[in-house]
Amino acid sequence: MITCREAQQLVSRAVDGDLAAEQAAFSEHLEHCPQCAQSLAELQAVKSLLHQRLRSTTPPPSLWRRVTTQLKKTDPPVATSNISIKISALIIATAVLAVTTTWSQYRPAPEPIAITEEQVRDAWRLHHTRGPGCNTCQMRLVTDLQTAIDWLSDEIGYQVPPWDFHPEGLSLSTVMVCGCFGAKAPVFRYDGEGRSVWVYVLPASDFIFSCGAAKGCQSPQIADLGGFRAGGLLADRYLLCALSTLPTPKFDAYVRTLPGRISANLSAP
Amino acid sequence: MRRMAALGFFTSQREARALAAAERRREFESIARPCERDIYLASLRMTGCAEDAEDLAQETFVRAYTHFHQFERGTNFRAWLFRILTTTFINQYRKRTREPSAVSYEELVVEPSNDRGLGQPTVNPPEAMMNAVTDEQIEAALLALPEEFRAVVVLTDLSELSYQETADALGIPIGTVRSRLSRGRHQMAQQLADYARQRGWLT
Repeated sequence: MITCREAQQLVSRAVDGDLAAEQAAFSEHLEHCPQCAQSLAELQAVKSLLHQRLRSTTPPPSLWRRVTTQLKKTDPPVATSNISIKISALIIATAVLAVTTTWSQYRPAPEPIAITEEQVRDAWRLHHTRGPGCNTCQMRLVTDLQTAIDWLSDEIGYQVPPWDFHPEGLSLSTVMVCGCFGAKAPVFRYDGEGRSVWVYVLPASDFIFSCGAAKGCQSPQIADLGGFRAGGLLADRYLLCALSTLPTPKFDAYVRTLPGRISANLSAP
Repeated sequence: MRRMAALGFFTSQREARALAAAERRREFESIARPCERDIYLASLRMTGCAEDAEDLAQETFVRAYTHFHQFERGTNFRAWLFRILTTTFINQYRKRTREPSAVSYEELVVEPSNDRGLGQPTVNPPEAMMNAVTDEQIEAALLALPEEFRAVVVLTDLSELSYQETADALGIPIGTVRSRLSRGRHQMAQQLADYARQRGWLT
């Protein structure tokens, strides 16, 4: 049996569910000690009051205006001077990742695709129920491949590379632009054979890292997308990330070849 | 061919630097903007004053941008911002924070925002606190805490950082987070019970 003095030292942690080995002794003490039980209730009330009453605030619109104005006047040191990095900095996205069960075989570019209203709704719902960072999302669904290519080129300067590889046995069903990762990123969804593969081409950003999706893409937000397998690697300043329902060994092996492939693609004349 | 053409843009190093800076700013803004509300909220509750909160939040973002190249990739950007926020607060704003005595009980009850008029006087402090105290009184109780305790309470209970994230943001051991949080909450409970008692909600 612990003393009141010992119990008092645990009360605040108990409010946060931070007790582990001490929990049993603490609970036992509370059963016999109304004072410590009341102490726990009081601290729970404080936490609830703070949470319920003092969190509803909105930053004044002037704040972000002031910040952006100030940032323009403040150029921080540039961390890298490598010309290839600078080239990368200008080119918004680099390449399309293909995910396939038979990694060595590619098939020709698909024809422009038609998308049903239901698919649009599905993709939107899927995104909003499973996608990371949806509060910032500007995902835009486009209805055919050519529109997607034009839009990507016009809007964000992303030049879709030649369609020289696609997941074997799967059809491109949806092309989207997702803003969830702190930057607009093209997302390609392939379907077929009862599987889906989502391919994200993401400019690497700290926002992604801060989500926990560091090298290897092990972010819960990404890795737990309804049983999808996720894989990704950092190549230059781009995080290449693909989500797939495919078996992992081949998927992982494929993902590891991507930086070299992307790099070759970038440096070729 | 497109890539070769792109190389033409980089004949001028100066232009390339300007482009890199613009890209860097865009990148920073895209990851910092989602944290705006969190940073403003913490600033507001730490300083207790909307004007100071805006200054503190702005300074936090500008400092973060200035030191963006030092941000370690793969670590938590939001926690990093909170660390800059608390450092800035402790170094520059704590002296400007209103003294607790500046918030008198009389001022607080002039126009309470949520004077609910519910229930009866009670002997139960938690119940009285939940029913009787106003938002202004909660703010005053928070503001009455010493800065070190207030920062821990704000980060943990309002910004919902974990103990470890709070420890990282403040640069203190996790054990210190636990003890400051405990003392801060106890002090607030006592203060709020006093408010409830003064208003006749607690016998």
